[in-house]
Amino acid sequence: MYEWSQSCLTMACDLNPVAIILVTSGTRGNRLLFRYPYCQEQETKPKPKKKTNCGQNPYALKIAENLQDVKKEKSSITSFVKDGVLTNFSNNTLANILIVKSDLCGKKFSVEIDDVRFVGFPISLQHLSRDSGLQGSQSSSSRQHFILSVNVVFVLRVRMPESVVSCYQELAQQLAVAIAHEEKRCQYLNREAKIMVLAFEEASVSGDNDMVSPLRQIIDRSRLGGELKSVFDSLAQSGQVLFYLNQWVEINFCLPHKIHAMHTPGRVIQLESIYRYLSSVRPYHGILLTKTEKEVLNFLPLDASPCLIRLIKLTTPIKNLKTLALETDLSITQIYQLVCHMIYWGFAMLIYPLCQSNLYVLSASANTAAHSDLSKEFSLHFPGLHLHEEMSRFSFPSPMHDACDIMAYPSPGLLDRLNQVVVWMLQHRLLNQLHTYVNLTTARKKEPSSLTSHSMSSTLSSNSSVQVVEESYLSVLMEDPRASTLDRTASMSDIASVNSEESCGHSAANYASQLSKSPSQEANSDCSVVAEETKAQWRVQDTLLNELKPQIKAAILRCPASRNPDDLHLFAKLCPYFNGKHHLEEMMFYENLRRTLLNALLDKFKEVLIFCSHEDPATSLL
Amino acid sequence: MNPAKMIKCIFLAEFHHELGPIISQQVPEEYVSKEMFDAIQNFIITKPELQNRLITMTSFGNKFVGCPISIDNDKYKRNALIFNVCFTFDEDTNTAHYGPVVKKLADYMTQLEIELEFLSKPENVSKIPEFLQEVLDGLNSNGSCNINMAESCTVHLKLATTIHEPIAVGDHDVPILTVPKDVVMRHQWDLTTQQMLHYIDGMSHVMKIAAEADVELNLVKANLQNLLYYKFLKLVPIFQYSNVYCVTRQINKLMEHTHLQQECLKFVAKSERNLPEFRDVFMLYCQFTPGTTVKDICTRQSNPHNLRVDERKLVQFGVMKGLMRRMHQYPVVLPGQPSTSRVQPILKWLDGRYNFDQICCETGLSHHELQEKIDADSSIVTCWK
Repeated sequence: MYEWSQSCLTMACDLNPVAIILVTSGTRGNRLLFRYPYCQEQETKPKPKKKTNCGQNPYALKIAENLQDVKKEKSSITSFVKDGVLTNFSNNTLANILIVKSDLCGKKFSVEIDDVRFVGFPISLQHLSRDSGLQGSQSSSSRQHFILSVNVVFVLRVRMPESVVSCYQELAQQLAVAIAHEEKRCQYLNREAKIMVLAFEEASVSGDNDMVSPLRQIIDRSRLGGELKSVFDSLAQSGQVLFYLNQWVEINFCLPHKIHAMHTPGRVIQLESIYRYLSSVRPYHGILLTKTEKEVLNFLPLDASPCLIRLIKLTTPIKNLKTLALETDLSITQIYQLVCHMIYWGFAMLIYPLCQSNLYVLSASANTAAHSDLSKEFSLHFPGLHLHEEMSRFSFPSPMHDACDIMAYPSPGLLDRLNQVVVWMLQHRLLNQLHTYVNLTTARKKEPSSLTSHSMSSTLSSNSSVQVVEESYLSVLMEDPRASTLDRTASMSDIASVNSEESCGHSAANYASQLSKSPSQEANSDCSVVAEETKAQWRVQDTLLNELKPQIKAAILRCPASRNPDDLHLFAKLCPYFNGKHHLEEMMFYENLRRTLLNALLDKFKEVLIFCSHEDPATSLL
Repeated sequence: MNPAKMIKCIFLAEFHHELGPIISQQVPEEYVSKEMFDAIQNFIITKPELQNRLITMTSFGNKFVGCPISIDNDKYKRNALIFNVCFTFDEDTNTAHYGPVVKKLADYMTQLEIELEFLSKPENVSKIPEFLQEVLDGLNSNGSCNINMAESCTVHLKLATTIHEPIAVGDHDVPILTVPKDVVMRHQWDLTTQQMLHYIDGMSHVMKIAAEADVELNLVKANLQNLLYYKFLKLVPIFQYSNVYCVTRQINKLMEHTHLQQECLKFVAKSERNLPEFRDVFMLYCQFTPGTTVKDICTRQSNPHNLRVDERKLVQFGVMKGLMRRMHQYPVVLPGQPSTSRVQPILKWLDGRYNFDQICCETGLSHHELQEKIDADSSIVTCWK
């Protein structure tokens, strides 16, 4: 158990970078201007290294190398990362390897050396220096120093998932491009570089081989140094970076892997699963802000879209996205984009809007340890309540508050507090909502004996007649291109086409056209002996259920409720949902049904349905 | 892992005493152009501090994996021979398992140079590309190569799959074979594994297997880890009628894939001649909800027994295929509340980090006894998750 949690911890911090480095090359060679974090050991580290490399007497007799020496040397190679800090690299080495030839500038830079990986984005500033060089020659300052290229590099551990690496690469690119832009605008890099170089020179003048104090000074004196330090710190802390470089260029980055694993340390989340999660947003979902409205609004950049601000202000956990679209006067596609954006950034999470009929259960990844930070935070929020008591309440699927709770807490204030507890637990991903899914199957072969003899005979007759009708009608229907009226699943899975009213109308029109067509086919049917109204019923049954397998169709028709045309109509309309992928709430939303009506209908056909409850993939990020 | 044509090119780079870093040999020729090499050469022929390190450089849509080596000796023009045998891949290739191969090849080259002057002798110039071609072809087609270089030196290279940390096997885990036993037995296992294999029936837990096979517990665990590595095994929680399971959304797989349905029906049937109906099996799976024990399901009117289903196998199949998962019970003592003397001895297990299985295994209490103790104490709450 202990080992497990230990490995989780290492996994979680694995997403953090090891270091951030700024290097430049200029007319005075390659220079490392800044690295963070630094460790105390670096003061002593370069010394023994120098001894082995150049401390040897050049006149000493060289003993021929043999294989054992090579092996010895190899075994002495140590890891570059010690206690989470980059070691064994002198500043000069770093400067030399991180400055690349001009051919590689403006491209992504990635080098792995043993157990560390450097990702960066080198940018050439040569065109700038040429311009300023022309001016410089006019002012005839021959001592002018030009920066020819700059590279911002993140040092990562080598075992990092590829998608995390590309995120860091992106951030390095943002930073490098911003620095280059600021250099062009107001010589920002030149100015800051002077401060940094000065700090290093002061340290070298004072004589001791101190590598830490200049870096510490740089953080104090140079704005760029401070900015890069804060980038590193906020990456390690929250995985989000948002600031204005030189108070001018916006740097805007988040590491979704980290943000979404905040409450479940140790879980490695793939970028693909986040995208898959985002693609399952539906208009009946709602959003829940993970922070307070004020915090979210404060975090937004100055030029954030007013639509986003409006959405954040209007959102409550009981509204679904369609309502929000109406209230914010935005199109649903626009709402989707905003919501996906907020979820990606970890400001919001997708939920089914809160209501009393929702069932919640404790999430499998919830941390139940007694003295966790989570339980402390909980008791701060809700004095007098125990997190574990609340968690045990949701050990079994339960609604936001039970009926007996209402009896126990007659005052509305307490009830309100219970709802807030649920919201808090949802925000911390302690709860999952259970949904009921419906599967359509054949009925049991052995008929329940409760059926009356009358219905038995009718089942038999309808059973045999179904066969007959099938043969005659199916051939006609097969040729009918509109026979696949009920196949609405494809349109629903498409995130863009969510206009349910439209598609409903479409399918209804198709029903009508089929019904109006059927009398002509009736003439071809050879079962003319049967009464007129039974025939009409078969027609309805046949046209409505023509999609299904014959045995399932027969089983449905054996249910007593199938003789009620209204029920059968509704059932046929809902059939495409009965594949275990659509929960009751979704059916209610798209088909505009009330829960009582739906439940009553499902109850009538329960012979052929199997209910199954699990969480909605859209609202539980796994 | 398919090694097919992963390596695009192998080249030998050297530090020439007059020209500086150059590509001296390359198979196939002209894959890495001079311009490309010039741009990245400081990662291939490196400064001393990066020598003997595995370096992977990504640029120009390629990945270059190499290990720069320097052999100091007075006989060389600059008192040292600096070289690097580099593998070139496409940019999106995962090169993690090629790293050890590159390093080993670098070691071989060092040895060959020291013993036979393989790299520096002028008459060997034609041999080197032949050798590199052989390595390239061998690794690309078979994932391995054995090249006889000298009387006492054969270059053995093999791509190994990356090895993960072995999965921890607990005392109360139940191993279950995922392939038929006769298929497993066909491999030549060691004697202990053979002895132990007879007792893996998907019902008995690790401790019981150890006792029955008369093998030391840790040996059993090590053997099981070995079988787990080869994916012949899966570990499932021990079966008890007090267990609670719940279906996951993977249950839809059972509805969609007919071959899984057939497999399931054969697996869960009480007798092979009389297979249960799929509808019944599916319905039974859907009855596993939070709060419903296996016992509850077995005492219902349409219980597994009536439906020709073996409930143990039903659960096994569900857990193995991920159709459902076990829900564990975590007892927690509420802070600041007095607890009775009955639970004092087990108090340290009641901090919410240990589930019933673990507590029972550690304390030797039966599930029932533990349940009674905890139910009797009002200061303890249980969380199922």
